[in-house]
Amino acid sequence: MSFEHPEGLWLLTLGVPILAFHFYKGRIRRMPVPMLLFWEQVIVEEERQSALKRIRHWASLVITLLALALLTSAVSLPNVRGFTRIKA
Amino acid sequence: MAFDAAFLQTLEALNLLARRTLAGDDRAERLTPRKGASLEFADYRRYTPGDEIRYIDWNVYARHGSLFVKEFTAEENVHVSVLLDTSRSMDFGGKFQAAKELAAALGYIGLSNYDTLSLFTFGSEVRPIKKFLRGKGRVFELLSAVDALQPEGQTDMKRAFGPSLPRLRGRSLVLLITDFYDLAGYSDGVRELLAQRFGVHLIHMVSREEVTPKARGRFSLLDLETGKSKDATLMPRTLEAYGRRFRAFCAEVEDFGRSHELAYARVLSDDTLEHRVVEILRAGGIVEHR
Repeated sequence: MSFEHPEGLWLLTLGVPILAFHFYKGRIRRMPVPMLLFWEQVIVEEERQSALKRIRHWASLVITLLALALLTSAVSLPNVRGFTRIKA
Repeated sequence: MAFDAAFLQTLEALNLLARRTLAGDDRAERLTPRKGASLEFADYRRYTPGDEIRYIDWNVYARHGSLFVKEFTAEENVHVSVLLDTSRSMDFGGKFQAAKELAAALGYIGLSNYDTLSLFTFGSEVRPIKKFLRGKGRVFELLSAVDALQPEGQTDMKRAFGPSLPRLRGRSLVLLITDFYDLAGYSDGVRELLAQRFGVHLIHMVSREEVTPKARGRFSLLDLETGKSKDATLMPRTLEAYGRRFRAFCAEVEDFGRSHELAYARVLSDDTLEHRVVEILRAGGIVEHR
């Protein structure tokens, strides 16, 4: 596989801040509370939805990285053996 | 901890309210419904042999021809016991510092009224810090003792106020300063105090962060007292649900106080001390202007 504009591959480095932001947003911070019981009573409902939330969390990362890969591909114009590029 | 002269003057103009007669040992400045010897007139009573002749009202005798004696209210001191919650849950949102300031201010009000003052801390047991202070001269002793207090341990009011409660002299007026966070339930503990015939005032400490928490995102919530933790994502919906739960808890404590005819005041830790004492505690029926 070769690229017509290999300099476009630099766009892939944007993946680093995307990953950093994703993990920063998803990190768990410690928060002291005077009475955990009250919180436990109100987050029961939320726990039921936590599986869906986890999927959504990872799906957003995959979609963002996929969008970056497509953008990089559009800029660097890869030539893949077996595929013919139609030039205008 | 230090109070300025103007604030001390404000405190000196206040009096701790006792909702029922709490017999004290010494005369002081508190008027009680009991009859005694002060300048404050209370009522007339028909003369009976043995009454002191100097109390006969001769003007009434001149008009009605019957002998009546004047009665006066008794002025007595009471034993004021400040029970300050020093459990770790108080170490949140400035509650502990606010509670200490309040304990010192209420103590000073008691001392300036010649009441006998004792300061106790409690978590799962009651610890005497200062006992039987009298007179304004003891205020520095009180302030330095309050200043040195540190939050520690868990709350268990039933155990603390049960039979192991150190004997409080006479029938104390108990000022209970706490956040009422007790996993075993605060009501049994307060009932223990009432069973021992103390006059009890409830002072409920809350912080702004408890009333309206602002945090958003993923958190590991750590219980300050038990050390237990739970992961949760705090979203506006979760915070609203928590707010409702907390308000329900506050209303429940207030209802408990009302149903047992106890004075109750909810004090926000970030209010100024003067506002806390003069406005909130006065509205709650804990202090009054002399």
